[in-house]
Amino acid sequence: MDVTRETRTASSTRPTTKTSAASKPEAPSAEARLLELGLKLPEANKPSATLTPVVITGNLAFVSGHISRGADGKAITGRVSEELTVAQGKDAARQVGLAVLASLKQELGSLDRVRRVVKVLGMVNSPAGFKDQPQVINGFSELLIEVFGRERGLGARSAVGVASLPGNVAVEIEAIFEIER
Amino acid sequence: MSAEARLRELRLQLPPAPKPVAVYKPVVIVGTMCYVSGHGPLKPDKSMMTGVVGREVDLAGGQAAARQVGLAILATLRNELGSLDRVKRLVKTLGMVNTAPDFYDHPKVINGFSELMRDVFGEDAGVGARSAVGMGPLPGNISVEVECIFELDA
Repeated sequence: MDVTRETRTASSTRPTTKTSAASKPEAPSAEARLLELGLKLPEANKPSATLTPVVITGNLAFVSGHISRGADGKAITGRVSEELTVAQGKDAARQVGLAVLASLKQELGSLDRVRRVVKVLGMVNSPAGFKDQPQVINGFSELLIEVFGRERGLGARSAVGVASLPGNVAVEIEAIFEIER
Repeated sequence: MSAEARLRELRLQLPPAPKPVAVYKPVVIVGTMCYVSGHGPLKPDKSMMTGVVGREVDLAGGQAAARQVGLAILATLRNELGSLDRVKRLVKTLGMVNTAPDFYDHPKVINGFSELMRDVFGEDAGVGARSAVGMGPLPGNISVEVECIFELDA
């Protein structure tokens, strides 16, 4: 709810100068953090005939659902709690995060244009009865906090279990970011 | 070419704009953003296309259902906006497929929806961000449900 309020205030009543001052990162820039953490982004997804990895409207960037792939580019597959442990699922979610960052960087030129994470929908390939979807999606959320800092890297979020995912991947995540125009 | 002109050219038949079946609105507009509720594959005779994709319904049937969802969403948009020509672009799609646990071709199914949007709104405006996933049961056992966000002309 805070996110909604802040966004509305930023776009309507609060003066622009104050808005940018309020959202200035206190810590190093996202690009600097990426270097500091030694994070290597995978190759960005290519647009296809029926989807675009990132759509920007105004100051919002809508990121398509990204699937879990390992550093070798191979899909991380299996149902969490059956073929994969929660820890492996969490790692898969982190890998999705790296893929999302790669797509954002490709679209924006620099991750420093990201003002904040607005909303995340994390979907975990898991059987009925599995309850630890939030722990799995934390792999994604913790990566974003490492890169953007807690203030800007933590957004609204839903973490749910789904019956099946494309190619039987373990995790798929879509997200919305606020960006500098 | 405008979306309405394309619709005529493609001779697409829209179903009647679906009425909400529970406590929600089919469309909410905030500024220039148009949020569309989850729609099902509503046919012109008002029946729904049902069945689990990968079990009772094959891939082609799933794609047809996804396309039918698209037609239902176009009907809703036209009903709300007066004309599809007010749509600036498709922003984001969440495509949910009613699947067996061992069905993995969700993107191909949702292409039935996405290709319709591309045909009606064009290569740029009609192709947006997208997620395609498998859901357990969907309401009324419909084969596909899609919710999406459009941007409208200011």
